[in-house]
Amino acid sequence: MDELNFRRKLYTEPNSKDPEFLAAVSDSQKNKALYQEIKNFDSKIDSALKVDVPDDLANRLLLRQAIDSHQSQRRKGRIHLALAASVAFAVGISYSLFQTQDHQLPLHQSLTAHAIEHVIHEENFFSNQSVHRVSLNNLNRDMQEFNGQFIDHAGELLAAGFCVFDGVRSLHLVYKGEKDTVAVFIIPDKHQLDFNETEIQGNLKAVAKQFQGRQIVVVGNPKEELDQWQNRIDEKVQWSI
Amino acid sequence: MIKNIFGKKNPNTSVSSDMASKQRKYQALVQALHGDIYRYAYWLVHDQHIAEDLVQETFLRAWRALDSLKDEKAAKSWLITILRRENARRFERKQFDMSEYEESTIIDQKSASTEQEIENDMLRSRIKSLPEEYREPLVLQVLGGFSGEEIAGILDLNKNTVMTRLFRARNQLKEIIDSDADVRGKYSG
Repeated sequence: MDELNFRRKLYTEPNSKDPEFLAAVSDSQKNKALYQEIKNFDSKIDSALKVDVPDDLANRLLLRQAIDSHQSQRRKGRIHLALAASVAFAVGISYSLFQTQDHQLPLHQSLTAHAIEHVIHEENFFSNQSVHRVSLNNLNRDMQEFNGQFIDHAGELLAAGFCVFDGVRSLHLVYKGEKDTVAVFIIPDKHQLDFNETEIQGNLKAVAKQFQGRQIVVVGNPKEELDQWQNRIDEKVQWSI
Repeated sequence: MIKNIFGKKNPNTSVSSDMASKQRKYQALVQALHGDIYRYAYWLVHDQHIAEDLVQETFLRAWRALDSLKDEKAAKSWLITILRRENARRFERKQFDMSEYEESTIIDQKSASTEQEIENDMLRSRIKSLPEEYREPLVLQVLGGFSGEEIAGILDLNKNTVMTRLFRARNQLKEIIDSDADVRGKYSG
């Protein structure tokens, strides 16, 4: 292979396995040196091309697909258990499309019972082993609607999303608990439910507290320190109204 | 990752098994290729936000047309073809739909402190300033690992043209980088 062709081949396809090309590489010191130089250069190009990929891009792509298939199914007149909504929720991204998605829960008289029902309804979608974390920025963006801001995380936040609580748009947070997930609901005081402080149903306990124009209900396994969770939320949130 | 979120039980839906397998196929595609496709988009449009939008649109179309992807080995070039089409469409639309939940993510731009980082940033900007017809085949070859024939297929060019452009891309880039090094050498020496 003459010099011209060698150089051409090298610059065009440095990774070529063409035997004639490879023979030319070992043919002379000059060729070998040039080959090394271009290979090194190519690996620098490779590094340069590998720009950072946004962290949650994969999640958003999956979410978009879930929403799309959910929407097309709604068009076909079938209403599933809003798998897409739950996926949206589960990947920790709020999506206002679902603000009108009442999960068709039976009307309950008490706030805490309603909260427990809500958690039962969605218990398949959250795992205490989830590695996903919602950032403080995203959380506070959602919290703006409720006139509050977290100065710091109250725990490890696995998911955050809007949901409907007796017709009222509320915030549903899912934290990692000792043994199992702990749900925190932030509910503006516009609903028709009776306020009560505590309730136990099966293996779930709910503890509610009043904070000016809103209620905060913490739901989890009775063995979790739910009162402490309430206190932590109290400490970590600054309310503007 | 979705499996972890769902836990051990299956969600109580009436998703048909066809749909479930289509979703699995799509998820596998996303997990395996979203990074490559994003990077390709980035080098096409040079803007992180536009690149993200483009990738979203691409994967959405891919989802809808998934049944037409018969050979999974061709998935990457299939996605790139869709992406290029979507990119062309950009100029027909007035603006992209920005969904509410999309937030601006910031590529971690550490201040270039080391010699290597300076070099890397410099190389990136030089690559950006290559003429598009030289840059595209180079990106497809180096980042995408495509062969000359495959690149010719994706770009709808003949193979000789692709080869010439690859040569020119490396040649030009090397010349610029070498002269950059000379200049730096003069100042530091």
